[in-house]
Amino acid sequence: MCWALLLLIAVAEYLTAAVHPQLGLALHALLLIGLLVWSGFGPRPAERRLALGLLLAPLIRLLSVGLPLPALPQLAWYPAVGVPLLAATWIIVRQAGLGRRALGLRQGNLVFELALMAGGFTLGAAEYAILRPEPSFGAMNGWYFFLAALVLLVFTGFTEELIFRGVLQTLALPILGRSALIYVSLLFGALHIGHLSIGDLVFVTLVALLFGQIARREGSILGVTIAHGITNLTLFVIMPYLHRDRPDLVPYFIAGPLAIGTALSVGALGLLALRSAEAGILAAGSEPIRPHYDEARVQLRAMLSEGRRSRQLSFNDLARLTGIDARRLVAFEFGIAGPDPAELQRIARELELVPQQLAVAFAAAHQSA
Amino acid sequence: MTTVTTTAVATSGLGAFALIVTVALIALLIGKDIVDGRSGLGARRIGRALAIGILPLLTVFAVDILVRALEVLG
Repeated sequence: MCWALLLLIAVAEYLTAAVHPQLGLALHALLLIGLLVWSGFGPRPAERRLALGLLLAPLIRLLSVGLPLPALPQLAWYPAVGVPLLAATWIIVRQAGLGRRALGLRQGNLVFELALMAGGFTLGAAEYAILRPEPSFGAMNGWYFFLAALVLLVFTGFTEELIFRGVLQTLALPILGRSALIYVSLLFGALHIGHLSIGDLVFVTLVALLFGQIARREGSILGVTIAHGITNLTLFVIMPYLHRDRPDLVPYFIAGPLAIGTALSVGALGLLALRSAEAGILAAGSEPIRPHYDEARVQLRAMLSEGRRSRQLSFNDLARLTGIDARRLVAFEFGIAGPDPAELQRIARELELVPQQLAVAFAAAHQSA
Repeated sequence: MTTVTTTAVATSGLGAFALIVTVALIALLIGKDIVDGRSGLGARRIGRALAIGILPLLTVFAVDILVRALEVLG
């Protein structure tokens, strides 16, 4: 069902951009209505919550095509679409019960995130090489540059990262497990079909995969948000204006921000890969060391770990979904600690377990401890 | 890397796009009216979710009316 929806969204995007715009937009409107029905009558809670999140995909296009954007200056397009979209996102966040932690609205490793942000220059220059957009924000001066940077950061960087890496990736995890990252990246790519460039489609999908993996590992969308904003600033402002107005400065930009940004972001990604590899070795090494369990603890662990594994959720994934620290989740699963009632409800909801049964299993494990 | 694209599309056929959005908005408002009168769990869930679609489409409708009014007055 999820993958069929992704295909339908991609078809609607292609129709809107290249074949019959009215037909494409009508398909988006039908998808919106279909997703609303699914959010009410979907068989599983996690599916209904994902349907809520997926409402944002047709809404993005209904807003960006339905609004009379050509009547506004181009810099106003982004807030014109972004403000109602953020309002819709806020309603979804509340209805799906997503906390700040689940959305990645927290600070990760600051040094790593700063290094990653600098990579936005590289990504923006690379996408400029693919799309070659003309300068479209009118005459540029210092204040206008600052305003453009702020608008692009908030209404493309923050809004899109919150929607795709914060909301959708989190809501897709319980349904699709590790494929959630691929799913959301393909959806992000599909919503860029409007550029009518295969190269850009592939580029954007790969960047989305990278951003998704970083947000998942770091548990924060801060770095990818700013990297996304800088990418668009480089793509739509810095590179087009430099090429048109100051081509003599292009080599300095390449030797300065671009080279430094590339070096920093490559270093940050290398560090991320190293940390992931280390975590994998530690996890593999810790596997054989298992304490003795009695029957009640074995049953509790089986219930929780099977719930997690059937949805292909790591402890970190479950921590993001429930807003409970991953170390506490490990302690719960091993019967070392017990959750409070609110935590128990959240775990039961994410793993689709009956809260009463889970409470009984916890009580039995702790009586035997 | 922004989803606010399809600029070539946006410059043509604005009236038809606004019409599609308005029809979708009317459908959602009718749906809201129907589900508000029902007591089932699914209907209640849809009733809550409808706000997610209604609010942005209402914005499109309001901005479209405003722009048209300014065009007529200007």
